[in-house]
Amino acid sequence: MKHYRTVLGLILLLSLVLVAACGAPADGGMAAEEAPAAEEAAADDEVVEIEETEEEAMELSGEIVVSIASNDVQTYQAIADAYMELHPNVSVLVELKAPGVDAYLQWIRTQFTSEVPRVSIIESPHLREFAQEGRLIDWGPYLNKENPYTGEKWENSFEEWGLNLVRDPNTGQMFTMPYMSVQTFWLYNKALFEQAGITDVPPQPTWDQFVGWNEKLRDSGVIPIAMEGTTEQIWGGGRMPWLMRSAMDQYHRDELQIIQCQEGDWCFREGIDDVWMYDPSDVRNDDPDRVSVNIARHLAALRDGAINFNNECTVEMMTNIGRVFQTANGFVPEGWTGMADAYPLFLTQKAAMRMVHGGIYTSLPKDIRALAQGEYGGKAEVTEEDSAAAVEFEYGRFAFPNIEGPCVQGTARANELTQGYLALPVKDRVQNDLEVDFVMFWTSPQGMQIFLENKLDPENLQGGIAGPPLIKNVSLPGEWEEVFAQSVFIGNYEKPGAPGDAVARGFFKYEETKREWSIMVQEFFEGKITAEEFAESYQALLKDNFDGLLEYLNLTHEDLDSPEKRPPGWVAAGPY
Amino acid sequence: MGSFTQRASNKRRSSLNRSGKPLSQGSGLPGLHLASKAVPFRRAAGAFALAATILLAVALPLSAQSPEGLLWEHDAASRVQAVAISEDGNRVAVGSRDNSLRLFDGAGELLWPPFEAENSILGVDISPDGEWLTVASEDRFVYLLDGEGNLLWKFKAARPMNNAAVAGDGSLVAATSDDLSVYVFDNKGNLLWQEELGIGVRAVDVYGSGEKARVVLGSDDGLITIYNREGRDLLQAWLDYSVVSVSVTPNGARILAGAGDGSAILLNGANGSQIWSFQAEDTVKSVSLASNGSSALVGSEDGSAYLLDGNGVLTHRFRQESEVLSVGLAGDGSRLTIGTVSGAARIYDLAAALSGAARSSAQRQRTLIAVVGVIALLALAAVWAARNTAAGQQVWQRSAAGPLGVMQTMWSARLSYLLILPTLALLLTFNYYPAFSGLYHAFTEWSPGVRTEWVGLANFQSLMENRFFLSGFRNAAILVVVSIAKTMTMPLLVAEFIFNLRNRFSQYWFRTLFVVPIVLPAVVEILVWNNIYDPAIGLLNESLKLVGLEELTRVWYGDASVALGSIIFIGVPWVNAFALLIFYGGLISISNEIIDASLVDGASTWRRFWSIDLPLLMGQVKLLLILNFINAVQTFELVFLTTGGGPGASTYTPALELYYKAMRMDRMGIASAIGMILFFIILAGTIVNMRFVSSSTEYEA
Repeated sequence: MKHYRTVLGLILLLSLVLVAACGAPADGGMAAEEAPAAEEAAADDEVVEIEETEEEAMELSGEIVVSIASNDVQTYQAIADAYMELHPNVSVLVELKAPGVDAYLQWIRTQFTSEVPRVSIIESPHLREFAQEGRLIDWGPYLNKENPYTGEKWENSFEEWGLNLVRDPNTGQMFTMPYMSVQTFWLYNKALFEQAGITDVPPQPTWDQFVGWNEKLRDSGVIPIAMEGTTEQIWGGGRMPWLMRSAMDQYHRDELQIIQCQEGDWCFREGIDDVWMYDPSDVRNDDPDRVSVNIARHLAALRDGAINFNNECTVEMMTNIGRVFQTANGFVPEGWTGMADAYPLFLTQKAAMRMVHGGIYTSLPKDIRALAQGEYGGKAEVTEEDSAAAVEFEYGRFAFPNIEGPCVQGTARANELTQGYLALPVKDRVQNDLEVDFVMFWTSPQGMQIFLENKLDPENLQGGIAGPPLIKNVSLPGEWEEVFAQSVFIGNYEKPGAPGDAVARGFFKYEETKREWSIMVQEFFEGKITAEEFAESYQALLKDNFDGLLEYLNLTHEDLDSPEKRPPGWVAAGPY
Repeated sequence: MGSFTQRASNKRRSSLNRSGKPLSQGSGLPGLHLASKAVPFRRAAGAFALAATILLAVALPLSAQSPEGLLWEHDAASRVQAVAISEDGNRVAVGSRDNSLRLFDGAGELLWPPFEAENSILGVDISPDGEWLTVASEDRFVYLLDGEGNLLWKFKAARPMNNAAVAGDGSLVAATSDDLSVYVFDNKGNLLWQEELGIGVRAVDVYGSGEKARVVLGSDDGLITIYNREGRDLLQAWLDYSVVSVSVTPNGARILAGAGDGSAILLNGANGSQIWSFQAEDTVKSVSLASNGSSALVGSEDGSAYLLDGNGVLTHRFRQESEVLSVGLAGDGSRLTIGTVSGAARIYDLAAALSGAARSSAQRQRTLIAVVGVIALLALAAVWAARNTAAGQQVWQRSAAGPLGVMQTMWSARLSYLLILPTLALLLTFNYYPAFSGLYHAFTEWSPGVRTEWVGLANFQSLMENRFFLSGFRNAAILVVVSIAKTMTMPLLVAEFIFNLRNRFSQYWFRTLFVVPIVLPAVVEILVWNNIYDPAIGLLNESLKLVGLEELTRVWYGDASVALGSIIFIGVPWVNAFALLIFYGGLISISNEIIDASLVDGASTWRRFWSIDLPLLMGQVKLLLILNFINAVQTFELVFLTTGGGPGASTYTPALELYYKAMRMDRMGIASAIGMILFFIILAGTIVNMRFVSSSTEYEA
């Protein structure tokens, strides 16, 4: 009986303790921060009187961490030093990362596992995922503000065409900041051309002319084109994709009429889209400031077959490309599909032509000099023969050749792009304002002058630029102004919503399709599949991957069925 | 009765411990008196049953309850993107993605046929008396309707109108547009003023009436601005993040702003100072404030609408099945409405909801008490059983000795445990945590730092259709076999060669010569071989041409028929220094007596190798088998630095596909799934190896 009472007593005691312990409110964990006593509100029938307030001007202070993937400490440190001289209370730390897309992106991903990353300034063209998740600041609002280093609206410092290529035409949002420009073209060795009997090189030849040059060069005993073509080179974005994209742009430009925003669509811009007319002779006809593109209409057209690739036009295009790049023709190095880097062939004058971007002007003399000294970045060792052959030579340039044929809709265009992809992780407004102030300084004439002088310093082996700056009122030092003045502008194929470019190498940068496409291209060049088979396979690739593509683009079939509505998954930074 | 007698009898038999003393002596239970008490046992059981019954009764719900004050629900065909509710809660406007606007009365009855715009409805506002409605649509129009659903006027912008608000007396309408502008109209639809802000803006509300009506605007740069009727800005307040939604009391004394970082911030409308802030779990989509500021409603992408009191303290959380896009709180705070992505518009009675919440809270407490009570009862029953049953006493004794003994042992070696602790912590942090994280993430769609979404077996399913992954297995199997063959032949041969050298000086130098290459990183060796294989200027093709075998030249990495073979050939003559050292170490550990005996018996070198060396090296063979198997299954850098998997998919390995999925395609979940599959393959291979490969002497390092 005594034990029985003990047990019951224990139960009662325990129950009392439990009841006392369970008294806390269930949702007590999500209370508000800081709740100072609210002032008395005005009576309901009145409108509160607004008090006069003055905002205090504050001296800038804090820390900015610049972590760009570059080895060029000299340039970025020079900008940082100049900025710190103006703002002694600001500390700018230059903590550059090794160049390399994959590793740098992984590093950025790691930084973003923190709610508020320490890093301030990052730069990469592959930051879409972070912009989509709202982790990057939108430059749009800041561009409307005054840049204290110029005294003008910041937007006015930039070439308008440059911002138009990067800024979303629908929302004005912009998540990466451009500040330089770049163009792709062909470079040729003048001596080897003369040796082959080619004397007339127009600024933009036709494809037939181009094929003729290749034949002459091959017959003269040199390799006509220094081109590499491993799967990795094609998939990862080597030179071959430039050419394929330019070709697709020539063959698919009219599809803009299918995918443009229609009256009643959420993306339709009155005064712009209602006055736009398709004109393939105008290379700027499809610029984002002239016409809007509806991604849902584009995907719906691909799904429903209004746009397809298994046709005579794709066959025509591939046949034309194959005339030059199919290995059997002998215009590209033997075994080029297993070659990761054909640049030395051009440097040592074994090959006569190479597709390049504007950075070649600053890098070519350095590369020849280095090769002559027995050093070359892409190779573990350099033979004496190669070193001896590395002497400076005269070179010229021509624009991407025009393919001609029944299906061709316009002249060939190239990458005439902005360069520079500065981005800032979202932090609190004060910190982001400080970081933006630094970028304002960098992109002011004063900052850009420092940037260019260091980039073009002959002693700076990590320097070099690919084209003129996008910033107005900035002059290139030395002879560089004249070098870049030679550029022949033929139009840009790489712009938001361009129908050819979006489907030129896989679909919408969807890696699964890019990889398969690169393998198909290789097989075509090696003669394993015909142009007809390529066309058929490319259509099959689209069909097989369409649902995955939709998921990747954050769209649904329902979105495609109602293209007039803005898809809920649409984002300004999307890969459209 | 018979069974009871038997139990009592058992108890008596076991009432002595191993020392022969009664259990109350030296049993760890001092003062415990054992007796053959059948009656107390029954009583105790009865007491426990009674207590359990009481607890069960406490845990049972008192009555069936409605789900937290839900009055009614409208199921729209598509996303409900805008809701608004009148002062008394008797007018509820619901705008959805299917272009329609519906107005319901307090009972959920449709008041007039749906108003149809030509595109999605993005914003709706209703005056406190329900007499004015303004609608913003993706068709680029802002509409003003009267309480009967009559269209009074509409205005078209260059881009979609994304939100709109109307003054209490309908005298002022403000609308924001994707053209980055705000438009303000009078009751007749006359544009009073327009300002191009040049920045994203969708947060708008109006307070006051007549000439004193004012517009509150929040923009993407975090700025909140109050304009008077004429468009003069009266006050500006900065928030840290973009302003997504604003709601103002009718007198403008309080402004509630929803920000892009998931916070809701209450500001003093007189001076812009911050009063309180509340943090939701995800981005705030919509906010609404009661007329007197005594309560606030915050809708978030986290699938909840948070009801806050006047001090910003959470009163109740309305959980929905999908993201909350829009919320509305009746001016008198009596009712609220919530619009969701899944197309539901729900109307709640606030008092009933809070009462229901209180009941739920009480119910949760009762359940908690019951559960804890049952656990306590079980514990008490166990104690009682341990004290009053023979079996219980035995268990008590054993378990008391066990854990205590372990603790004592640990305490006596506490310094060792302390010293090993940092290593253990680092191991757990950098090895085990990532490994287990990978196992978990194999079942998710994972973007580190961005999102983690559970997808079950979907990642594994996609791998079963991935030709790169599947063909990688064939290549991995070839690489495993070849790697093992390479390691088991050449290093062993060289080890035997060095071991059998008679001259110690030669032995030393040859050993050094073969081992020194271990300092050369594998990457360098691969890059050197890349140059050798270069199809244009590589040593191999040039050599073949030199000796007249031009027909044998190949694009070694570019020809699918020889690419894998070319990779395998790298490193010829495959004298792996590590394997060589292991074998050589094994050979010198063989007793001289055995070797001498074999010499005396006249065994040849070959016979000695087969009958003595090889059997005694089986421990080393087993170790190298396991290590090689693991390395070969994980082959990555060899392929990545040579062919990159090409041409086509001919040289892919699972580890290479893992790399591409993770680094290039940002499919970390699928990469984790590949990692998991590789882990189980390696585990299985290692177990088979350990179990079925016999060894006469185990390797001891």
